[in-house]
Parts: sequence; structure tokens; C-alpha cells
Amino acid sequence: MKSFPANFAAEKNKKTGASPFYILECPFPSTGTIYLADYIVTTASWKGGITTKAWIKDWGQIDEDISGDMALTKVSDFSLTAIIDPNASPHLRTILETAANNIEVTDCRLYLAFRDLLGALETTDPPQIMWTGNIIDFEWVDELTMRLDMVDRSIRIDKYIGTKLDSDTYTSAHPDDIGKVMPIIYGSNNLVACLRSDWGARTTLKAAMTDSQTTVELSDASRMPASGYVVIDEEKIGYASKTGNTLNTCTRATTAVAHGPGAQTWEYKDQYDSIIAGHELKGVYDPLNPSAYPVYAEIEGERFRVDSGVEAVVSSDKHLLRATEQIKVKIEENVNLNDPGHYHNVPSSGFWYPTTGSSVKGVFTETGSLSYIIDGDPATKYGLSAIIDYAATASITANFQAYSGPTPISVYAVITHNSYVTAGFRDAGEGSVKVGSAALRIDMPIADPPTTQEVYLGTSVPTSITIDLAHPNVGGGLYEVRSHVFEIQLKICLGYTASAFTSLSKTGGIVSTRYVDRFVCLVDGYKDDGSGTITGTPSALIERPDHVVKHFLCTYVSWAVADFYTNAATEFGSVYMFSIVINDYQKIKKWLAQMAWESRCYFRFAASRAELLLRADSISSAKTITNNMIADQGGDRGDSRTTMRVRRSSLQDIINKINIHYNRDATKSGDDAYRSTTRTASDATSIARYGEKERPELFKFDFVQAQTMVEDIRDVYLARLKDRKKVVEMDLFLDNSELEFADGVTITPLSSLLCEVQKANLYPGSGQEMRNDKVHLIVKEY
Amino acid sequence: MAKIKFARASAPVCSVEFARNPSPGDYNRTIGYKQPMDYSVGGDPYIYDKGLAQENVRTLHWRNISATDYANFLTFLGLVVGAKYGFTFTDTDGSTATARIINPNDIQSAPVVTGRESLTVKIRYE
Repeated sequence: MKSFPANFAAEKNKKTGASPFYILECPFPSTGTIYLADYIVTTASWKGGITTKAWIKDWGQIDEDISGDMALTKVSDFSLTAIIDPNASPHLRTILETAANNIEVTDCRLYLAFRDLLGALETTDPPQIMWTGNIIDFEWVDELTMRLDMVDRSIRIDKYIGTKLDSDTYTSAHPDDIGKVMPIIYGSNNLVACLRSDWGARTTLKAAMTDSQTTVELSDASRMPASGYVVIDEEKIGYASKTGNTLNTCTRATTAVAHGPGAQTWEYKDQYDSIIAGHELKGVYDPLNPSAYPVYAEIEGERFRVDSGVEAVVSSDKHLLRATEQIKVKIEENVNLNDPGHYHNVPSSGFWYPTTGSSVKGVFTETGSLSYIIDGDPATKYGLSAIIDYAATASITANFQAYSGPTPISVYAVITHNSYVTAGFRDAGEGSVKVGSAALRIDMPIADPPTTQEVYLGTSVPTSITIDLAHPNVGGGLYEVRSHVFEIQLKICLGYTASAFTSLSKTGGIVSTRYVDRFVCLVDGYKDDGSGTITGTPSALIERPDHVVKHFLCTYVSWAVADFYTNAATEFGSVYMFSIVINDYQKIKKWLAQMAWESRCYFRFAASRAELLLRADSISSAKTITNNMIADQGGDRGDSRTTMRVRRSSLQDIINKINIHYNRDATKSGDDAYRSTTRTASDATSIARYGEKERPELFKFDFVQAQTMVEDIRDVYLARLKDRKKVVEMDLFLDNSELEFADGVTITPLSSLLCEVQKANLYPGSGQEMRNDKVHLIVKEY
Repeated sequence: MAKIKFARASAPVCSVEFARNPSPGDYNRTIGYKQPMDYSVGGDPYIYDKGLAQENVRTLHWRNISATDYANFLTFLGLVVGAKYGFTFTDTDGSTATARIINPNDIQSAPVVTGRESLTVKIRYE
């Protein structure tokens, strides 16, 4: 809701006697600032004392929202008709056609003013900004008239962002990474595939060579420099020139050995750089604390933990991972990387089974044998069931023998289970299986037939874990709950290490070596500046959605920090956090709309600021609309026919079944990138009334990793979107001109219906056309 | 009582003074401020002052003027080219105001008897 100075507010609230007019301020860089109105007005002190040009013929209307899609940015537009005064120099047509006036990016402001406030009151109650935007088009309607089409400042976000890795700047970049976008990263715990910006050419030997040969024939030498060094297998060889794919006048820089055809050959460089992000990061690989920010070397899709040989550096505002030698991975155990039995990302793993000392407790009736959950046979199961009319829980404590092997890089509980209630009573959220301590408790979806799921437990192997079975008995009633546990295991994952080429040894436990395909980092994104401009805390990680949006606008749209507003900070608290990796070439408006949707907000440009507005659980009424405010259809005749219209929201907008895919792995693409999915939430009443309505394309969340946050958003969207609501339209006057999108209002003639403003379209009035100023309000039942 | 007169002192210099004024009831004055008016459903009036100056329109209808007056008016009308040029209007009370003909496309006249004409002219104060 707009806020106005006291005298201004009093003036706009006058039903009779108010003297409203409008001024469009156009600060053209070439012509200078002009002030347009529908008659000539001179101010005493406002803007230093200006005189308007009476060029406005018809103000048209401000349409607050031309996009009805719930996951898109809200956009408002405005069109007006102006006079080309042939006696003016320059006249409007000349001004608009002057290219140097940059009309498309010049912010024009529409002010509402009152004649009775001109003069002494201009200081305390100046004209108020009602809308800001840019002229995106104009048309000569006739010799004396032009139509101007304007759009709010969304034109500033209608541009692509991201710097692509180009082959001119990065002449030694890996060909597969040319054209890719340098990642833009926010929040913590982001897995990022680095771009090989200075990687050296890689190829293979075309033919075998001896240990005394002075020419080297390669499969492809096109990316090799004219002279320099190559490394073949582990031998460094200098060359003075190249002819086609042959390197000439070679000198053996290290112990000369023979090499076979197909041997790996790499251009030797002083350093090998990979771009982690196109900007400086809050946190990245720290060799002294690799567990905090691990770096992985990726070879043929497998990932190996890197403990040394690379360092993170900031160069030209980019965050790089720099290696001073070619990185190879030492394969220290004889594990076949292509063995489908081992887990991806965790090249070595083993299962740890519960001991027979495990126990069961709870109100459930036991069926089957407890030993079935430790026998490793997926066909045998241990069952619990109960007929209950209250919330109930049971638990299985699984004990494990002490572990004394190498320090794992991750430990998971692997549980094969199903849980269900008797057919006919199945409601969302009725059964759950939980694992671990309170801090690690993770709800699992109901599954029937059984499913095997993993729960991350950390990096140490526990001696016992507790599997909780729970039934909250949502809605009351008598239920028969059945849960079966087929297997409980621990998966203990050991990692390999990668180190610099020079430290490589073929003796001992090392059985093979491989060149690194690329590096993958776990990093924290943008940090605040030393003054805490965005977050209020100097150098803090920028991860709360409103902070991210604010920083994104300031960084990529040059938006002023002071011109950003949100009402969502309290709701976000410490629960709503983004983890964002932008490595796709898209427009800013697409990213902003996605950020808003994934934090259950709207993003819009208001009169003088960008706003991130919460789709709240509940709203309070900021104003009450009575019949004494709603325009009569009869105009000056007053025939008591209301302009209020009531309809229902579109059936297409109903969503009564939601599950959200989230926790995206930015190193992957497509649906496979989402590592987690919420349990399905649905509303049985809505489904019975409207049929099952899903919009799965809206619920793939790229920016959210936290289960608590995503489940909260899921529940809010389900509550807000499961029903058809009343949509009410009406014409009001200037006494309601403070209403804005997302304000709460009470509609008295509809039994004090609480609604949320969807549109508040301003129609400036006209004396010549004998038309009052009006606000066309569209609200939706909350 | 003064006679109604249209006169222009600067080029094109011209004037016409009618021998008689319109009869009572045939001289209408319309004053307006072009202030839009609406009602709410609850019956409250909304009237905004849009800042336009008072509009002062006079409708002059002569039922019976001489052929000379009629001819003089037509000469005057031709010189001011309908609504193109303003002029000084002398009212029946002798007051004067700058005015302009605003019905140049619809000046009605008709012979009422031999040598006598009716005439309707609409002017707007500026």
C-alpha cells in the first residue's frame, strides 16, 4: 500500500473539491527533462519550479499486470495519447525520434498532484509517484497526435546475463567448455562443475615412439602451440616446431621412455585454470580444511576427492581453481571404475549390517522375525502393524559392530521399507519413517511396494541408529497402520585422492593413473561487501531469498539498494535459504521470477521500487471497501447499479496435488539433476470437487536444498491454490489510490470478504472528456 | 441597452452590429467548469476539479433581422473565416469579452418574411 504525506492523503480522500492532475516527468538525456500534463501548471519549488507542457490529450490507463501466469514476473504497462504541438520547438515527435534521448531506458515517472497543494505545501506534500516506466514504442495517430506505449522497468530485466567462456579470450580453454556460462553462485553447499578455461590441449599419440625419437606424431596437434612442451604418459618432452600433426626437434626433458600408440598427451603449462564462478566466492576449496569445501576430480563420470595439488585463487574478479601440474588421480585400490556394483560419486563403499542385539519398541504388534532385517535377503521382512485411533509411533534400534577401517567420506543409512494404512484410509502424510538423531531426521515417503532409500548420516560410522515409524493420525479416525522393514544397512563410503602429477608413483598400492577430466567443487556463493550492504553483516554469505534478489538486482541491473523492498524477511527467518548455481544463458526476468516462485513470493516493480512480496499464509485487511466508495454504473445519474462484478477464479489455476523436486545437482541437467523429491501433498476435498489438478512443471525447484523450506512452500501453495476463489472487480475513486498489488482489503458488500489485491489499475481523469479519476480494482478472495 | 456587436480591430479588421438584440428567451448563456461527476453505489457524489477554466458559451438566436444585418454578418463571417479569428463581443449590457464563433459548421438561418431572416450564432468566451 502506498504511503502518502498527511495533506496529500487528506486531499486524495476528498470526495468533492479535490483538484487532481498528473505530471509525467521525462528526463531525456539529450533534450533535457520535460514535464507533460493535460494543462499548463507551474510549481513554486517542486523540482526547482517547473512549468508543464500541456501536451497530454488522454492519459489512458495503467494496467498493473499483463501476465496471468502464476510463476512469472508481474508487469504493468501504461499508454497515453499526446499532442504534437507544431508551434513547439522541439515538439514531442522530434523529442521521441531523437535517438540520443534513449527513450527505452529513460525512467519516466507519473506523478499524482493536487492543485490545492501547489505553492507552500509543495515542500511537505509534493506530487507523489504513482508509476515509473519506460517508453517502449510510439505511433503517429495523425498529424497532431501520438500514442505512447510504456512498460514498467521490467525492460531492465529483459536481458540475458552470464559471461560465456569464449575462445578468443581463453585460447587454451577446453573445447567442450567453450560457449558455456561462467556460473553465478549464491548460497551454500553448491556443487559446481568448473569450466576449463586454461586447460592445455589434450590429444593422443598417433603412432608408437621410441625413447630416442625426435619427432612426435599426434592424432591432432591443431591446439598445440607452435613450440613448447607436451607430457606423454608421464614424460615431459620439448619441441621446437610443429608441422601438421607432427611435433619436430623434440628434446626429452625427463627420463626418455618409449610410448605406445594412443598414449595420453597433454600440452605442458605452468598452470591449469578452471573457472569456478564468474565472480568472487564466499568460500571455496581450502587445502587445509578440505572437508569444509571439498574438490572432486572427475574422470569418466566418477568423482575422486582431491586433497592437494590445487588451490583457489581470485583473478580478474573470477574465482578459479588453479593447478600447477597436470592432475592425475592415483588409483590406490584395485577397483574397476566400470563396476556397476559400486556407487557413483563414492568410488568405494561397503555395507555394515546390524547385529543381533537390535531391538524393537513401540505400541505396534510385531509380525515376522527381527532377524529378517539383518539377513541381507530383500524378500524377508519384519512387520509392525496396529489398529489405532490416535497418533502412534514405534521404533527399531539397529546396533552395529564397531568400525575400524579408513575414515569414510560419507556414511548412509540404507533402508528398504514400506508403510501404509488400510485401503480407504490413506491420506497424505499419514505414515513416515524417520532415521537418525533429531538433527538428521528425514521424512521418507510412504512406499508400497517397498523402496530402498538412503539417509546421509555424516562422516562417522555410528554404533546404532534408530528407525522411527510414525503415524500422526491426521484428521482422526480409526486406522490400521502397517509398516515393514526389509533391510537396514549402513553404507560406508571411502574416497580416493587426487594429487599432482609430480607426486605420482607407480609403486606401492597405486595400480593405475588417469588424467582428470574436470574439477567439481562444493562452494559457497556470493558474499556481502565489507559494509554488509545487502545482509547487514559484513562479508556474510548471501543466501536468504530477499538478500539474493536484492544483490542480484544491484549486481546485474545496477539497481539501487534503497529501491528494493520486501515484506518477507521475517517469514524467511533462518529457514528460507537459496543455493543457486546459474550456469544457463537466460534472461534476468526468468531468474527473478523463478527466485520469487521458489520462495513463495511475487516479484514486481512498484511505483518507485522493486518488490519481493510474500504469498503469506494469511493476510490482514489494510482497508475496507464500502458501497460508498464503489462507483455507480450510472455515473452522474447515480442509478444504483454497482460496478462490482464477481466471478470465480479459473479452473486452470487449481492445484490440489503437489510434490516438489528439489536439491538440484548443478553439474547435471534435466530431471536427473534433482536429488530429492518431497512427499506428495494433496487435498482430498479439492480433488473430489474439481478432479486431480497438478502442474508438475511449476514444481521443479532449482534453488532450494532444504527439506524444511521446500515442504513449507509446498504446503502454502497447496493451501492457496486448491480452491476456486471469488474474483471481484469494481471501479473506485482516488480515495483508494493507495491500494497496490497484494494488499489485503475487506469488501463490505460481500459480507466483509477478505481479499488480496490482484490489480489496482489507475485511470487518470480528464476535464475535457468529463471523466473522473478512477481505480479499477481486481481482488481475489483470500 | 447596448446593441450586440462583433468587432475585430486587428487584421482582418471587420465588424457587425445588429440593429436589434435577440428577443428575451432567445439569448442563452451557458457556464460550465467541465467538472466530472459520479456517484458511488452508496450515494456519495465524487466531483473532481480538473483545473479547466470556466467555459462561457452564448447562443444568440435572432428570429427576425433585416437583410442588411444578415448581409453584414455574412461579410463578417467570411472575414473572420468562421472560427479562425477571435473578436470582441459587445454584450447587451455593454460589457465586452474576447470571443470566437464555435458553430462555424452549423450556422443556421432562414427567411421568415420577405427581406427578413432568422439567424443562430454560438460564441465562446476565451
